[in-house]
Formats: sequence, structure tokens, C-alpha cells
Amino acid sequence: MSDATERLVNLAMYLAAAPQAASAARIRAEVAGYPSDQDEAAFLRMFERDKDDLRAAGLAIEADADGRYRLDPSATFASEISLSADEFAALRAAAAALLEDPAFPFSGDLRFALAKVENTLDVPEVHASAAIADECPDLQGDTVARLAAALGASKRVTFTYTNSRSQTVRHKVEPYGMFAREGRWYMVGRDVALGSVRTYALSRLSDLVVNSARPKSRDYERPADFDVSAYIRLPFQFGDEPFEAVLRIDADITWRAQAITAGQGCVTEDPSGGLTWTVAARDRNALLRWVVENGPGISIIEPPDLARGLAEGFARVVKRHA
Amino acid sequence: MRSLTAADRARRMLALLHHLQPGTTVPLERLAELLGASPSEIADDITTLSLCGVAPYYPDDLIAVFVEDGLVNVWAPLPAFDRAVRLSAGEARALAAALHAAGFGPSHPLTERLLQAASADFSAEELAQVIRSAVTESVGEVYKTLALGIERGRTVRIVHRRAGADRETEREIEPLELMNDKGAWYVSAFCRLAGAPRTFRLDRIRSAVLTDTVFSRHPDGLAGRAFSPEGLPVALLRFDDADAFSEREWPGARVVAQHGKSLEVEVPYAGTAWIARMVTARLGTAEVVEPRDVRAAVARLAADPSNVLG
Repeated sequence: MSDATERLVNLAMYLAAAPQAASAARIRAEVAGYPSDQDEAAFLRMFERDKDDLRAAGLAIEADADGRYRLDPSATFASEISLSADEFAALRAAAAALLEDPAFPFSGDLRFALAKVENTLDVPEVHASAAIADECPDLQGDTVARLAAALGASKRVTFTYTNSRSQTVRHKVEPYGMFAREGRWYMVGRDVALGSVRTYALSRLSDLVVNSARPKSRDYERPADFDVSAYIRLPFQFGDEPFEAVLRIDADITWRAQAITAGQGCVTEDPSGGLTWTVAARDRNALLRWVVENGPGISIIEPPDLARGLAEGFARVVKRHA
Repeated sequence: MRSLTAADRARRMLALLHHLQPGTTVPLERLAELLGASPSEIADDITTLSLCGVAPYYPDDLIAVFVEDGLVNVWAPLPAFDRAVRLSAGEARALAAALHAAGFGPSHPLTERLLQAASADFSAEELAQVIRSAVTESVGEVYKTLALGIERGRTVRIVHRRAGADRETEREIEPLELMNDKGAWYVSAFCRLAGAPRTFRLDRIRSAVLTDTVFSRHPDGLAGRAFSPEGLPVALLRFDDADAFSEREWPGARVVAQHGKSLEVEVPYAGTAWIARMVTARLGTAEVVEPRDVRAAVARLAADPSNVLG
């Protein structure tokens, strides 16, 4: 173990210090750690793995037309990172919180990233925590990490999925994207058997298998215009009765518009300084409830019968609490 | 625990190098904390590094470090790697995802500057099209100020609009901890206006300004209490349809009885306005059984739609 680690560090040092590109043979002769009694083919395999490992650590190793290797310093070494004190504080807080959150899928890489961008070791204690997912965070974080790897390599996945009607089915899916919302991670992908793009809650998914055949070739191409944000829906956007709602956001809470709309629908300014928000909806009751929970300052303009439904609902509340 | 591969360990050692400036001593503990390893693991790394260098591997060609009394001593310039290595694709992805989760989207200047300086050929925009660890990107500016307030122990003046409130309040807080709960960020703080610990959701803070007023962290640690139902009053609610009740919507709730389809649940609540609005939003399918003041608050809220809708 120690020899392989030393060899990798020596190779990195050699490439960084070398004044000019070097052939594989020269590297073998000058970098401590390559066995002298190793045959050529075995050496080349080891050297290939070593280069891949160093590239994964961030080193930009290039080969010229003659097969000689060099480090591209501008692509390998970071420029001076100039952040303000509050930016560094925010970075440390976000990183510290997510490093300890099992539902954050990239904590290993995040730790190395922070070590690279942090320019001082003399930092105050950070007080931050995170719980992105409230259901099986370890499982969700692990699943997201595996799906992210599959997504990056465009490999199909198969898994068992239990839907909200307790039906359990095995699926083969081409992962297109993932998002976290309200304590859950979701995966969006094309279900191969159904031939359509579906959204899956990762907490309902088990026995995930990533296609390991031909690992360096892609199983599918993600549509060029895919954007996972189009699949992140508000609570009233699930259901079987699609309709268009027009809501008004009062002038004194327009600063919260992005948090309220979550990027959904179309927002326009109205003459009074408020906003008119046109948004697709699929569940009338869920929309009514959402308006009340997120108010005051949000009202329904269309459909008009929905506004009446709200008034009737308030009358029921008063009657029950009289 | 997964054992570290040689590649993982080499990666960790390379990430250490730019913190080893010649002529300095660095606490082993701090390096261990930074890299998520134990001090003994980092001590082993330093020992291994001291055996590495460049040809011809004479003593002056090796990395000049040693560990003594918990300190890493660097007594000569490194043969190479005196600057930080750029982020690998995986590291850039992790950093962009973390920043996004904290409200700094792909086009936020912080994300752009950081990735431009530290990463080669990585697009945070492309990442956001496939992986999103946050829905909104609106809390970054407030987040920065609160994070600095926590680090420096200085109060922050915020303009905040509580859930269900019809106006904003300005208050000075002693920020103690930033917390992410199901994707939403909160700050746990001692509120000088209320004279008590309070938790504020960041997307309800309109502005945050760091002051020059220094505070001492409360000795019994007020942070961490934010989502604890301990000590909160409890209301008894009746839901007409048991299927419409979800524990995820009522933190700390406890089912006490079921009669046919209806369900009786005890719900802890921090504020009457919040629970009254949550019950009103059920539009007559849920009811406050007790206490009477919460029942009355629901009746008052629903009696005048302008209270609810503004």
C-alpha cells in the first residue's frame, strides 16, 4: 500500500517539477516506485492506472504527439482564490453542514474540494448542520451517489420500486437527473419498458443495479434540452385534473417571489407593484391549502370558482370552531 | 469502515501539500480535521510524504516535513506543489452542489468566481440541469452574513417576516447555528427583541446586516434546540380523514386515538399563529379540540378572509 502511494506522489512530483515532457520509459527510470523487474506491458498498465488516479485528484496530465507526458500547469494549479470573509464563512458553513449529512451524496469529494480552496488553517469553529432528507438519509445519500455515477457515465440502472399504491415493480431506467425537495431525493429518467420519462422517489427504491457491461461506453444519450428543474413540482402540481391557475402575490412580499414560486410558471409585474403568477396546477384542494399555508399576501384570481371554494372552506372552519 | 486505496491516500496527501509552507509548523489536529482523517492517519501521511520527492531522491530532493509533538514541521520548500491543485471534476461537482444547497446557484458570483479559480472545464450550469440539491437560490446573500456573524460572534440585524404574519419585523439577533432541514435553511439565534431563543427560516429574512456588536455564545448552548418539540405546548387536533394526516407535516406529532376514519393527534406548536394557519388551511377537514385559545385563534383567522389572504 505504502509503495503504491509513494509511487503516485513521486509521479505527481516528477511531472510537476519536470522542465519538459518525458517519455514513459524515462518516467519509469526516474520515478521511484516502478519495479525494475516488471515487464513492459505490466508497467504500461500500471502507468495508465497511475495517470488515471492522478487525473482524478485534479492533475491535468497531457501527452504530446510523440507520446511524452507533461503536466499542464495552468490546468493543474488553481489561480489565487479571492473570496471575501463572508464568502469564506458561507463556504465553510455549507461544507461543514453537508459533510456531516449522510443524505448529501458527494461528501468525500467535498472534503477534498474544501481542503484545496481553503487558504488558511486558522479558521474559527463552524456551527452548521444539515438534514436534507428525513427518511433513511444514509440510504438516500448512497443511492444518489450511485445514480450520479451512472448518470455521469450514461449507464442504465435497474431497481425495484414500490409506488404510492403499494405496487412493487422492477424497472429499467436511463437516469437523466436528480433533485432534492422537501426531505426527499428524486430521480428523473426514461423508463425503458414504458418509453416515457418518469420521476421516482429514492426512498421507495431498492435493489439498485448499475449496468456494468462495457463501462466505458454510453448506454443512452440524455436529451440535449433536458432540465431537471422542469420536474420539480409544487404540492398542488400532482393530480389528475390539470388546469391553469392565476394567483396574485402582493407587493409587500414580492421579495419572496422566488421562494414562493420555486421557479414554476410565469410571473409578471402588475401595475400595483404586485406580481401575477400563472402556474399549472392539478389538484384544486391542494392549491387552496397551499395558498392559505403560504399567505398572507397570496390570493387566487382564476379560476373564479376556486376563489369561491376558498370562501366556503373558511365558512366550514368557522362553523367547526364556533 | 472502507479501507483507503493507495489512490485515495495519495489524493489526500496531494491535497495537504499546499498547506505545508516552508518554515511553518501546522497542528496535526487541524490538518486531520480539514481532511476528515484521524491525527494518526495524517501523521502517517506526513511520514510517507517525507519519503517522497524527485530524482535523484537525495535528502534535499525529498519533501522536508516531520511530525513532532502534534505539530507538522516544514523546514524547506517543497520540490513541487507549492500551490493548490485545481478541483477534479468530482470535487467541482461536490462544491457546486454544496453551494447550490446553501442558496448560491450556478450563476451566483461566488460560485462563478470560485469555480473559475479552482476548477478547470466545469460548468455549474450544466450540473444544475441534472442535479439540484436545492429548489430556490434566493438565500445566498443572507446566508453569507449569518455565517460571518456566527464565525465572528457578532450580532446581525434582520428584517424578517414570520410565517402567517402580515408584516415584517426588524430585530437584532445573536446567530448561533445554521441548519438545513429538508432543504430549507434556518438560523438558530438568541433574539434580542424577544429576549429568548428563536429560529428563523432564511427565505423569510428579507435582509441581514452584520453589526459591530460582539456577543458571547450562551454557555448552555442554545443552538440545536430549533426543531426539538421538548417544552413546547401541545394542541389536540382532530383530522376527519386519517389518510390526510402526515407526521412529516406536523413535526413531533403523536397519534392518541382513532375513531373510524378520524384521527386525534397531539401536535407540539411553537406559535399560535402557525398552528392556526395550518389548521385553517385544511378548510374544515381538521379541527382544534383544545386548547381553547388555539380554537379561538383558528375561528378568528377564518372569520375574516383578509386575515388569511392579506
